[in-house]
Amino acid sequence: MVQSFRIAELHRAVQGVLTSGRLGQPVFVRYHLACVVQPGNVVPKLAGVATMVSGWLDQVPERVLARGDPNSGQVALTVEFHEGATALVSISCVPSSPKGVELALLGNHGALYQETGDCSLEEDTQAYEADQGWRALIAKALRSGEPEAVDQEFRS
Amino acid sequence: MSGTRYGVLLVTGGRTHQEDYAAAFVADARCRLVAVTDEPDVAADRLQANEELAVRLGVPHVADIADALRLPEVQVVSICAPPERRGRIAIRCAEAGKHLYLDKSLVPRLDEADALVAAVRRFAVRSHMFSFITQPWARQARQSLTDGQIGKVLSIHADVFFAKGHSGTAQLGARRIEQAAPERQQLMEAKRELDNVGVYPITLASWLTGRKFRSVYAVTANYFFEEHQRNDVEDFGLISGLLEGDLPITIAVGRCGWCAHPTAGRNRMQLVGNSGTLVVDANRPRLEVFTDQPAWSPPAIHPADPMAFWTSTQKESGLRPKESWVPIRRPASDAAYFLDCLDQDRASEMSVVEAAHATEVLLAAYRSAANRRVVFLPLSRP
Repeated sequence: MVQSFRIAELHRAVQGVLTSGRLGQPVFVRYHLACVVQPGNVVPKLAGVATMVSGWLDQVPERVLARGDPNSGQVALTVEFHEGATALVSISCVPSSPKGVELALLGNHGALYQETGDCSLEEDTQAYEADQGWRALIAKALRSGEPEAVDQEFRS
Repeated sequence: MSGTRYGVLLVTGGRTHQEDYAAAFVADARCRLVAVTDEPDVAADRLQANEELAVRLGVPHVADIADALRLPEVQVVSICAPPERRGRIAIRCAEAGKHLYLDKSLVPRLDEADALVAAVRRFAVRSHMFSFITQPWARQARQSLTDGQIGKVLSIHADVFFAKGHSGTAQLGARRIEQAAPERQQLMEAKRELDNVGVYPITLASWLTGRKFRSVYAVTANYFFEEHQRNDVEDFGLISGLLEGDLPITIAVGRCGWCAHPTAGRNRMQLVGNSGTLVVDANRPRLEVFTDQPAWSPPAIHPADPMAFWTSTQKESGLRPKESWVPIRRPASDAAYFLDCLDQDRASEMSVVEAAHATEVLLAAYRSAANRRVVFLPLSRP
């Protein structure tokens, strides 16, 4: 059995490293969340992760592609940000798999990593504050299967 | 079967991966290096690097590949010519009846890939492109999938980053404008890293699952190096794709700087199944070693190889190995795998057929990055 952590603790630690400036300017985030969640909560949870990642990159999204199906528990977002940063944000909801976060955050002067399996994840329903704009954008991208441009209203 | 039975001709020499491939062939008792050769009209600096490797290895340098391919003692050709010349050389070697050991990625054009596959079939030679599929961690992962340990695969997520080069010099703040059909793959100071690194997770995912890519959406970027930006080649790329059966896959690749990782770089693939998750990590299992020796620091920039592509220039620049992560398992020899295929008269699992699919995926990815659209495979042929 491995030690566990709450997602809010992970996010606080990441924010601390970013604030220190050691990584330089963050340019790419890989965030894969393995958790147990009902299909109806996949998009809200993913929207919460996307909101968090946008905050880390400190950029507004420009285009989003969504792959997968909430009913299968597998959805992956490709996010392009207005000033050139990118992110791969994904969720896997499989009851038999270990819960955790796979994280790689690249800056132009360094990187940080959190690997699934090093620690397990405690359920923390308050950890992700989902932006309503993100929810709508992901739902739209899932319906179209094409990269969706983010409208001006969302970006402002 | 024992003893030396494969004469190996090296096409293109120093300051390419041939330095490493030649060493792997030398280390295998089944092989004897015959010569270093190339096309007769190569540039003066390429000719010099070819001659230097021949001297270092103690084999003749044959200036014209036509002459070298007539040598009866050559059975295998190891081809490390730059991507732009690789296809025509490989076809020529196949026509001469030689088995092909090929640097990655295969070739930069679809018509070349198709022609090479056709030539290998027509002249009944064996072929193999360097990849990760021969490594113990990859073989173990495939066995786990074959054994059904994670059930049905539902999604795949892969990152491969080379922790080399002095980062932090690229100008940030704008989206990269990509070319639909890249014209230059490899320069002295920069490579197209979506192609150069992306070929690894693409080939690994296809090999592990037995599925081809059916669509890709890709983004390229210049995040780390002024050298890449100045030469209009990307240092970063990502792909969101679907494999056969609508299996989602995400891939992030690139070259991100010496100090961005404790060893050669992040190299992980997660396969999520309906009864478990398989993590394929080239850096595990490992020892983590910490001592009072001086901390590792990046080498000086080599003027002829600022990204430290090649083993010889790494040594010349005074590169110390990163030693805090020590792999527990020894890496396998990719060259030995190909020689096993020849011994057993069987096809490589990474023959030009599989390698050509990776070429097609990469070309589709560049087209996608340029047009900002999902691109479907197979690509149309004229």
